[in-house]
Amino acid sequence: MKRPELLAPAGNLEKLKVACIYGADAVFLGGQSYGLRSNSDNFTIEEIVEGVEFAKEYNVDVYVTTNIYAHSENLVGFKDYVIALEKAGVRGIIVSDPAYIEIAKEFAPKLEIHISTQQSITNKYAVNYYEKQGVDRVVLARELTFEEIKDVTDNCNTEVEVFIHGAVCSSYSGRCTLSNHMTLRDSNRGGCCQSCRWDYELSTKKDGELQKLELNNDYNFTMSAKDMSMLHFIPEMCSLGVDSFKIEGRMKSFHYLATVVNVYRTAIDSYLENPEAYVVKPEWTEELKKAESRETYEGALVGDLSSKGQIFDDQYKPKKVEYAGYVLDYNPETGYALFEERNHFNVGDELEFFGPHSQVFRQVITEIIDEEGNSIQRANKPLMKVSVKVDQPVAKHWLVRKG
Amino acid sequence: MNSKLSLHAFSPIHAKSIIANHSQMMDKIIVGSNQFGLRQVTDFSIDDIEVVAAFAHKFEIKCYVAVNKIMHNRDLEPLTEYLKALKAVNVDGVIFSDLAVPQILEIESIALESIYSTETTITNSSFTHFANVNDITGVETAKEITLEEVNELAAEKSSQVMVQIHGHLYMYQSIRNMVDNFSQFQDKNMNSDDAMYLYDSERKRAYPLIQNEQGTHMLSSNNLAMIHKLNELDLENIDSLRIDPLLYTPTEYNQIVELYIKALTDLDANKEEYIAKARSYLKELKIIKPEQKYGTGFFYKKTMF
Repeated sequence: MKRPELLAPAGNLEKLKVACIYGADAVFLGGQSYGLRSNSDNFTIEEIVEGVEFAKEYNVDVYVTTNIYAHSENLVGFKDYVIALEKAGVRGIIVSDPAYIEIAKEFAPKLEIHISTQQSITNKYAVNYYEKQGVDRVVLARELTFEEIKDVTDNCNTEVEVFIHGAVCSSYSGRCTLSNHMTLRDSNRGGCCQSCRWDYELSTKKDGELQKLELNNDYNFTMSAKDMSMLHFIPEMCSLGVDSFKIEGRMKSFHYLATVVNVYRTAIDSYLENPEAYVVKPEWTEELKKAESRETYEGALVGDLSSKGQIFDDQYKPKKVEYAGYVLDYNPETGYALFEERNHFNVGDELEFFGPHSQVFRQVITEIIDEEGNSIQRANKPLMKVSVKVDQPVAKHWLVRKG
Repeated sequence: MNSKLSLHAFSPIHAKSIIANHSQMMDKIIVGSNQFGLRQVTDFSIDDIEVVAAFAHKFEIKCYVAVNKIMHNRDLEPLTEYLKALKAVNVDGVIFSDLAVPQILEIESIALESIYSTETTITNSSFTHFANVNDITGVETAKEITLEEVNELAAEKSSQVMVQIHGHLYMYQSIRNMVDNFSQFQDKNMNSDDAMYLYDSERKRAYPLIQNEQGTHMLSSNNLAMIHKLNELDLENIDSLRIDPLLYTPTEYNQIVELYIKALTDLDANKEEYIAKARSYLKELKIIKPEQKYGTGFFYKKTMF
């Protein structure tokens, strides 16, 4: 069985490192221009160079999103940009616009070309069409069922990538300009303001006058979609013959990234190692819940486009878990972990430590020692370095959370 | 002036009347079916299309068929048969948004012209080069680029360029049946025989909402109208000016087309006089459908990102 790449979002250099450490096979990131998340931190070329170097140590590939639909002003500088990306050792770019494909092919021919999901490619012939253009990979639309994806992989030679987890557009990607019309922010150039998640009224017109449709409850109409989560369908996903599973979320938190990559890495490896004995462990589901910010659903992949995939009553209460720290060092002789505080905690609090390969344990904090060696009751200064005694070994890059 | 009008038909009879009346000013008559076209005003059968194509050819007008929905694998076989059938009834070309269409035309050696129109993504002249090298006849520009960008694209073109100059602007399509889903959630039938609108109470804008077999579609609140700004379009390099028919009656559409033809004729005869009269065309337009609000879309509004 083909081992699909686990492709994780890298919103910034710190997140890139976490994705590598927690088990991603590849990461995708955005530079300062040409990508679809203009509000994300995004990388400078220097950071991309550093990121690629770091990723190499973990045998992780780096792809760069250049998936806006370019207006003529967005073509300026692209040639120099792709030359710099190629030189940095980036493996490929994720593209929607033929202008960028032409430029990359001419000036940075070693870069792979991946067609973005913004192209909303929904069938095997459209994939075949891009094969002829010499692209290396097609990212399929998020509207496809398992059967439709399998029909693509059975009939195409190019690499195929699908989403496995994260937020989804409720429209066909690239075919939504709600944001343009409502706020003048260009959704196809990284300005999407998520108008689909706003509340609206549904109305009809009678004698030229708008009439609001009567509702049975207090919830207004919205197009907001639940997030995709395919953890419970790893065997089905692996049987599709695709080359890459993508986790969405360049703008999501550090904690989200580590948790989600960790769970999918563990689940996919567990399945591929022994498909017959594979079961979804309850603790994986619990872990994902700690990172979720909205309800999740399997959605289009299982062929269900009903109201179950939409959020009409925003009653969801995410599990209250806070990111509390990042482990910098561990002394096996003393059993003390040094970590950088990211959220306050007290002596007596129970914290959860977790690391790569889904290692998790809870620990009641009996003592907090600050940088000067003083015993303190409360760690409450952001980024302060503190040592705590832990009953189980940890390592650099483990994360700490509370709740 | 090289630009010609691309006009839609509501029925074979309507097509004949449009063609007979306006053949000097138009280059294409556009029809479509609900099976493969997006948001069609009329579901034309192959027999109807044959009638339209034959009549159009008498006036040296091309008959184009909209096969512009997003295709799934299950559509590909029937689409292949449909494209063959269109060729068999002497259709000239198709308007498409899914690259499965040119793929089928190539592998089945179906000699049809084709216009690539995704509504939102054709934003620079590279798409015309892409079309040119891939045996695609032309492109229709995205609605979200400025007039300056449209003209720049047309001046740099390597294939034909079509530009929508009038009508509702598309802004959203979901594969989901949003109204049905909301009805299910509300445990109440929310579907209405009357036209439905998405209403944004903060901006006080109502957007037409259509649910059909292809999912849910939303359109701009204002209609695009360039009747008073035609002189600012690059009419030497833009090949086709398209007037969208959605949410108009055939009578309203005819009146709008006639007004555009009058305006274009005036412009061709005397640019200064056209400019002097520009606002009067807009006034006449508003008489045709008084409740409709008009704007210039994104032609003079640069988006941020």
